[in-house]
Amino acid sequence: MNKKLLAVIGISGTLMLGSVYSISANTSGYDLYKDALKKTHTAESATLNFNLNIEDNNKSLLSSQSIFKSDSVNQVNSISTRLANETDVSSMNMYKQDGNWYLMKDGLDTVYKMDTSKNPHHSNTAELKDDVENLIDVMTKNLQQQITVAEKKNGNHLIDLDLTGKEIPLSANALSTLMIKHAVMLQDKSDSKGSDFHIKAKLPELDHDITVKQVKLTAEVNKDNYIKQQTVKVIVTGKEKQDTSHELELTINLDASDYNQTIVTPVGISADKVVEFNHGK
Amino acid sequence: MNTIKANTLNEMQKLLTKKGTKLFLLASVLIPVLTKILVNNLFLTDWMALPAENINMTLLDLFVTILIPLFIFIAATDLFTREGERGTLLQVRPISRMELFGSKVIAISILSLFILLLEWTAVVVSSTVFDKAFEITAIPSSIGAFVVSWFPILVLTAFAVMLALFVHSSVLAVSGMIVLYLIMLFIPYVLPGSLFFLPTAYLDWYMQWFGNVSIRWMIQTVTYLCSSFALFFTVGYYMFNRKEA
Repeated sequence: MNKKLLAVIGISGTLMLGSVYSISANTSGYDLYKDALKKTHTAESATLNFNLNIEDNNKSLLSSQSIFKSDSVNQVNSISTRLANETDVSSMNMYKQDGNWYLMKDGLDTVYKMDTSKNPHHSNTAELKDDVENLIDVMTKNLQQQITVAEKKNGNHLIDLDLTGKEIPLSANALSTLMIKHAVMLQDKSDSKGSDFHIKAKLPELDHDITVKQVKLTAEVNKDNYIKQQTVKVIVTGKEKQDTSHELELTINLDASDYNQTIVTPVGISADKVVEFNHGK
Repeated sequence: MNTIKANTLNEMQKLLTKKGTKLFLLASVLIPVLTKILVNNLFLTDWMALPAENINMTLLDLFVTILIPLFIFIAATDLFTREGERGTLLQVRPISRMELFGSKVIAISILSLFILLLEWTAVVVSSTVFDKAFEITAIPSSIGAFVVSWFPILVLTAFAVMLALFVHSSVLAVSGMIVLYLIMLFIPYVLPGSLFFLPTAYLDWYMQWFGNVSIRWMIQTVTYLCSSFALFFTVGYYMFNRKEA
């Protein structure tokens, strides 16, 4: 009798350990994407095309196109951005060289200098990163199953996460709804001030029935495990006070190229045009 | 077979006379109804349009991860540890040890399924009554989710029964199980490698049945659930069998 029991215990125990091992060994799209993100962060230089679009019922509210060149070995970066809302267009260039950021806006003769040495966000947080990574790994356990991977002929991997309606975790949905409502209220308050420096999007004043309808993330990871292309699309629906319904669509598109081959040439900035720019203003 | 059936009914009756069990049954009706009333009349929810189905699944989560485990711990302690304390566990009955052990486990399992189904009915009924946008088409997937959730609960039942037989004091058994359960819930945040080793990691596996289910994953998790159930059940029976009458 006892021998039979021991046999059952032995067999089921082995099977259980085996299944745990094989579940843990599953390499998912999530792991692939996470590794690619890490690898991409270690790249010495890259050129990124960054496009952002906000549409309201298929009408563009704000669009921005940026080219971001970064060289972390020589600590030189350059960003050129073109921003457009329904009425205005503006362009600006930013450079990071000699440890400072310089900002030039089209049509202005001054160069703004931002002192980044006082930035408190530069402390080393490797340990914290590991903890946060563990936390995210466990919390997104069920979402990870929704990530699909497809291999392209050229060896690149396409990673796709598409969540609609009920698939979006309730807490995430509630939280983003809260943030949108808050943002709308803040916009109401700051409207009167009117800053001429940045172009702003005039968001519709969503009042009720706000919900996140879709979140879609796609990424293409190349053979060297760098992220080649990435899009994030978020659709939020809601209604104004007068029951006009809106469908806001946010699209972020990122194209990366020239990993470790980007050369950023520092620009000449004449010192007499430089103005110190304070964040706390 | 008849003795198992008869004793299962007997054990269920014992559990049903307990105040705790009645409380759990009441909660499985009241909590969904109250949540629905609250969600539809709260000022916050005026401007939020959260999918009704999502709230239904959150209710399922609440039961599967908190209330039903708690019920299982109390029921397992009642049927094994407490009866052991009182000396009524192994009375002379025309029933073999295996049948006695099996029927006790079945009784707890049936009652937890009953709580699940009662909760599902309460959720669906209150959802049709209170939610503006409830779709009938969501019913099959929601009953599916509730039924599928029963399988990891079976594993937890076997686990709780096994623990109940290791301990001789019923107070220690219940509190020990709750503490252990909490540890099992939180230990993956510290040691991510341990996640899939713990039966608690599978309690919300119904979520993974939505969308594209991979056959590979299905085989792996079903293997885990079956083998861990067999393991806990057999160890539990071994302990039960060793007890002196």
